Amino acid sequence: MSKISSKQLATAFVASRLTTEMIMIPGELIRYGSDRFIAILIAKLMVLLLYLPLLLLTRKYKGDNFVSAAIRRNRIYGIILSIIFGVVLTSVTVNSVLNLQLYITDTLLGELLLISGVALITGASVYGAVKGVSAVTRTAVFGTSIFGFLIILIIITMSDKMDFSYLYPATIEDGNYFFRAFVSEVSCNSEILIFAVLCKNIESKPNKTVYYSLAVIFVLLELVNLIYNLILGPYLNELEYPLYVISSLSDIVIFQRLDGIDAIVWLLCGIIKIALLFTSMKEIYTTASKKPKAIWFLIIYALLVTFICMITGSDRRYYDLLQTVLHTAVPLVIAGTVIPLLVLFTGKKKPQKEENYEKD
Amino acid sequence: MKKISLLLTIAITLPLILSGCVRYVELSDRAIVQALGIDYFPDTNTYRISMQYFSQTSEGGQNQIDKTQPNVLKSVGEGDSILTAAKNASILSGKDLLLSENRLIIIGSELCNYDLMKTLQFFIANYHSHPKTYVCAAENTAEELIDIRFKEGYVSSQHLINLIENASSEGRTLADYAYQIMGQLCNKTGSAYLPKLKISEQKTDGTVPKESGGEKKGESSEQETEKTIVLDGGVIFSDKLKSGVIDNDSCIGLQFLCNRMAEYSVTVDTENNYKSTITFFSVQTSITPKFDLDGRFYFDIRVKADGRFDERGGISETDTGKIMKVKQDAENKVKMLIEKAIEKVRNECKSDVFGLEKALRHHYPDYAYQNRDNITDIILSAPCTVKVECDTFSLGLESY
Repeated sequence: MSKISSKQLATAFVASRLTTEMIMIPGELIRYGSDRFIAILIAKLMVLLLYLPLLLLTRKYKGDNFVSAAIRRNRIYGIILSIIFGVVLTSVTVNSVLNLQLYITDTLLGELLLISGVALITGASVYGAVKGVSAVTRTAVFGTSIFGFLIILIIITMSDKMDFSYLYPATIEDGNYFFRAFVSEVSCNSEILIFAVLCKNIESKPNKTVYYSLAVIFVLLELVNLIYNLILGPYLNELEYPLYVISSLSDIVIFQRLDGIDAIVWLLCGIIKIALLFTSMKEIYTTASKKPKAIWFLIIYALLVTFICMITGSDRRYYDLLQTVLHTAVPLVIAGTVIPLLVLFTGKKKPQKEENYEKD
Repeated sequence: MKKISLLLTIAITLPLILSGCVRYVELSDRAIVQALGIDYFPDTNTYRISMQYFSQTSEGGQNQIDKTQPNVLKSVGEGDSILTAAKNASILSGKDLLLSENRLIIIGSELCNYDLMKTLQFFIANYHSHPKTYVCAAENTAEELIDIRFKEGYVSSQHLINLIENASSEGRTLADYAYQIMGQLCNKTGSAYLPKLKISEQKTDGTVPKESGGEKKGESSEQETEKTIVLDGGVIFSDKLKSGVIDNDSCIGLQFLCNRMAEYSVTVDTENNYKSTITFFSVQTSITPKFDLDGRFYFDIRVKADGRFDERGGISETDTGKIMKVKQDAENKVKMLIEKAIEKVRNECKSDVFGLEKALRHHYPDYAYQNRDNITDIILSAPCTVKVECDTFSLGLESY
């Protein structure tokens, strides 16, 4: 089993969450005004609460994840929990693939067929999952660095277009929108699911992954939201991909617009996110089946995801239904908080011998 | 080694196999749009798009870029929506439209009477079109502006862009990109300003050579007229529709109000028919909503600037009284321009181009939110007080 550092996984989480911000959050949930600033702040505190059972679980069952702790108590019990978790993980994966595919057709390749886009994304993500968690997180560090660099570049080049009078001191203006934005912010933290599975791959102090990633994501999201407000003002309410529009305004002389480069980097980060979701599924399988090799499982699972994507993506109603369900944050709470909470009380620790053997 | 060979094989073969899967267009088959004019004809409910595009292979050209042939071409398309009109223009030109280089959109006068946001939506919704595109209004049809020919060919879009940018830097007009206009239209008042372009006939002297002098042999001079495009005031939008037209003076006042005036020279009459010129620079305009002692709401508009005497008009440097008089006259002139702009734009056209709503929201967010349903009435009815202060100095030594 390949081990990664807590900072590596935290960086991958930053890439994953930023991709969600750029590509996957519906435009209607990103609006001009003070509401979203507060929604992000409170959502991050809420997410920290949602992480709590997982943090306690990693402390109690060192070197384990919820699957191994549950299976040790009772195999069937563990498998049932894994299946419930897997269903949520699969729906998040399908949603991410479809959103990324939609983003590609909206911005880069307008005539790309659904099957081609889905196959491309799934194929690249499965390749990442086959290479292992270490390879994916190392790529994530690279992707996040470029991502961060491009955001800095956008800020520098757009500084003269920022209108500070767009900002105004207010708290919650539209309660209905605030609630939707808050719930959406909470639901966009599918990293909880990844952490629930991959925490056993972290070398030491897995809780640091949560603290680091939440702090960095919080600062970056507020910063990006600030840029949206300062440059676009009320026009923000009309846009589906605000940062894409802002980056298309950026001019660094050698490139008169940065949207093309940005879109490619975000695509890379999107694939990293989906690769992490595939890797998590692979880890669940290997832990539950106790089979270290999972290439065939990954191929079959990728075909299943492609199949579900084709069905969901072929009809807008199914896609909207999936989006609505996931944006309630209920699936995330069930899989990311309730299941770990159950395992926290019902799981079984490693026998002392096994633990010592692993230490040696 | 096996892995590397496999990867290399895949890397080489995949592009060869898959390149046929995606439709691509050669650069020479693209119409690189540089300027667009949109007109609407309500009688037939049709849109007409006139586009000026750059063609690599020009008409009759032998080579890829033939300098002897005009590379700027024009195509027109009609349809019942902007999209279909653009597609028809593309079909007629026989080339694929490329909007990523478009730098100017001209809206015909009739189309200004319809929702501007819907008109611009087409260009904004298309992620490939350039967001840094200037938007202007035409005095008549947009097509006649795109159609105008100089001796050397169509008037280039770059010429029009330079015209707008120069006028903006000289403080004659506001020049906004499409995304900025969309931002203004998204406010409660749905206000916007577009610079107005019109065709003007300029008289030029043409010298007739001896050979072609007709009966009167020898060089003679004749007056010719040449059509050109000029900026003439602007069009004001309120509630996303055209609500009026303003003249050049109001445009200058508007520039001050929007805090976009970089430099402006004011000439005032002094004694003995002399004229004195003060140039305002480092102009800063602040709009602050305030409540007076009776609790009535008003906007306090203050313009602060540094002033430099460019022409002293015979006034002695030590004559403080006369210098102060000139300074006050100059300040009054600027104040009049601002008040005229407020009168015209806000009171007559019912528009908030200079951002009163933004100022209100910035200073009194709770008040703005509580009154969000009648914010337009509050903004349009509140009195405005204007104060202009110019810190002038002569020879850079003293300030008054």
